[in-house]
Amino acid sequence: MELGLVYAALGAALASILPGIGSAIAVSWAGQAGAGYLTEEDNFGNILVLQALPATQGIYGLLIAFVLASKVGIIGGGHVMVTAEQGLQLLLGALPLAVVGLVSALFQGKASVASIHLIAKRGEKFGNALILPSMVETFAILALLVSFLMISGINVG
Amino acid sequence: MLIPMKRLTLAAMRSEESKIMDKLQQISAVQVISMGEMSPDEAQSIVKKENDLLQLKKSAQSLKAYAPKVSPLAPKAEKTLEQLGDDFILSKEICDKTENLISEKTKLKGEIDKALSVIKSLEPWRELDENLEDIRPTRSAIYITGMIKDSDIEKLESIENASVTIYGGEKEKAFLLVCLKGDSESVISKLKELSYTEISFKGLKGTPLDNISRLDKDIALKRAELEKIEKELEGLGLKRDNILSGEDAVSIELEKELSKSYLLKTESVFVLEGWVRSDETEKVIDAVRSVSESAYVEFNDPKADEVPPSVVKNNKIIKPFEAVTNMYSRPAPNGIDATPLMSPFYFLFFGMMLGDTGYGLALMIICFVIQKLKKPRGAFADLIKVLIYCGLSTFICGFFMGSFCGIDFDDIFHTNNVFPLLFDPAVDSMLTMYVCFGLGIVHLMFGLLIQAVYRIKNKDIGGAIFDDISWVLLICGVLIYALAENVKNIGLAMLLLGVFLIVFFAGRAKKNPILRLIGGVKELYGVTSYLSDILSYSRIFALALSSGVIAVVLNQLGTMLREGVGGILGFVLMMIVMVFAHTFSLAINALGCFVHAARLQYVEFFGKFYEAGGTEFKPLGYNTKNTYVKN
Repeated sequence: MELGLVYAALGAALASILPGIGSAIAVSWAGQAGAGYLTEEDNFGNILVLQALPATQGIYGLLIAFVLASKVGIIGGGHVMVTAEQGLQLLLGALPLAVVGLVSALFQGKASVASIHLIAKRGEKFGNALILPSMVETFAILALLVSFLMISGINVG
Repeated sequence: MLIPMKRLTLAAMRSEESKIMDKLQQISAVQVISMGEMSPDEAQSIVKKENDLLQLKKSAQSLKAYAPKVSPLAPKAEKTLEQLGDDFILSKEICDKTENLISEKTKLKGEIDKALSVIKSLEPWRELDENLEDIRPTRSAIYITGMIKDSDIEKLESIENASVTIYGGEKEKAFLLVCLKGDSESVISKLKELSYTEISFKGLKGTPLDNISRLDKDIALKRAELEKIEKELEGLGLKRDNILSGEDAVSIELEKELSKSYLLKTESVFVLEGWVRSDETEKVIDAVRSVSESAYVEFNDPKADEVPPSVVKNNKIIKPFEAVTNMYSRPAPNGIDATPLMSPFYFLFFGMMLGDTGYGLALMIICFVIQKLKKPRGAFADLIKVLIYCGLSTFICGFFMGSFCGIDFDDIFHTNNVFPLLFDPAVDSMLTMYVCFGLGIVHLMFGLLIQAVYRIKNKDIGGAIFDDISWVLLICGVLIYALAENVKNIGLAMLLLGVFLIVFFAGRAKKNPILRLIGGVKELYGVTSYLSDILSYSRIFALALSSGVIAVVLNQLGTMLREGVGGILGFVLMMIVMVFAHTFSLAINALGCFVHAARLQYVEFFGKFYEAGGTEFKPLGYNTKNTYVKN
């Protein structure tokens, strides 16, 4: 494997590893908070939705990893020449989502936990509870955009 | 459109109170305002009803495991008020029975557990052929019974002046030690060096074997009894629906009692104050007249210090979107109903974000099935309808973006690059992004213009021009200047006019001309917030990208699976996995799109004009949880 491909593979790996970790931890926090309230009211659906909110970073990670890996031919085949510089560029392209995805997932998880506490007390506030954590997700979305635009802008082969 | 509210004043004889309140509850048009103090009698009756409700809820919960399974898609039952009342009488009886049975069951279970643990502790002593009550100190000897570790048995047996018998047991062995009273001190001190636990048979008579068989019989009897109780509970479980309707009957009564406690009362007369929709005043008058000739009814406009609840009325198509607005907040009573203004954008944004014909179809079908089977009402029904619209929008946008569950139309129809008809977010990324920004600018400008119109209507023409139109001029000017080469100068003029209006007039509240200018410049700094607002619309592109690319990824994984397994089996396997994968992808992406389409309305759009803070109109009516009330 040429060095360029190694860099690109590292980028794809980081893009899926870091946001994946963040989402896993965040979803687990929200799940733990939600499980405590399932004993009383029948609001499983609402709690599940709030728990699922910080899962998206992991999915964005998958997306960027896939776009990057198929661009250099790691997935889907097709041999592509990737120079070391291009590989490094791709790695850098993956970084915004890798880092912001990790951090925003964790903090979105905290907002989700707070929202779950909110609807446990006041079920009718579900709409507001849904919006608060998604404000955090904005930054993961922006990072996703940057990563995607950077990776698709870099020419390889 | 916001419906103006009227304040109802109704005065009638106390003797007619029940009749009138029953009727008002039936038409569900009056929200009673709390005026009087609650009397002790009323408080007592309310507390009693609340206790009834609690008891019913508890029993319903206990019987949940015994009730026949109900499909989550089954619609709620429809019952008349009389049926609910009958159910309540029935449910009281069922409740009492259930409570008795449940406490009996817990008691029996506890006794069985206790007997089982006694049997377990007696098990090692099976071979001890003595009556347990005889194992007690005599004049000359003492007995010690206990359990000891296997490794210490030899040491135990080697204790001097003591006779030791070892019985059964798994990890630890049961032992019986006998020694003379005179030797007891030395024996006990040696025994203490070993790790053993003393066991006493207090209260047990007969040999261990006798005890075990007696307890076994006892347990068998109790288990039979338990089974009987379970059977009876299962029988009661079939009647759990009665309890649920009983709950509704109580909550209807409770609501009426609460409203009654709000009334102003004298010995012979009561006065009711309440809110009524201005288009339902006739209905209220007719209803009152039907039960009382003498009642006095009057409607007034709300006074300045009275805040009526907010009620909006929209046509059938727009109405479901009220649920989206209400998730943010109801409009202030004298503000603007944002629903009709927001819904077209919500429709479009959701569709663009999800943008796939397959997902759109699936969303429509799923929600349509829920609507047909579950027959929901209220906010949930609205939400389902909104999702049906969103599915339609997703289908339309998906058609123009050219994909079906992530498969390109070109691959389906074997055409060469005919599709997408408009653009594919994953390929024409910059174009898609500009379209999103463009839509965002339209959305924001629309919000500003709404506020301008509202201000002009309220005779605040200065506010409309200096705070709203000035920004429209500025932003449109920048766009024209940057994009339209030929009319560049017009753009520049608009831009400068906008800046001028803001700098010189935005701070007009201040008298001091210098402070006023500073205030204006500060306002101009708000241009950064418009920039971030516009950039925020890039989320439409990002979500379109993510939902689209994830679908493509899933398809590629499916193809790999098919090629890996091969043959018909591979194809079948792929189809099964794909159905699950795409359902998951649809669920998580639809959630994201729903939330972010809403966010664009709440933060970017509503921020420009919407006055929140209205309260919900909750007329006295049949607000039931488990059934629908037939009138």
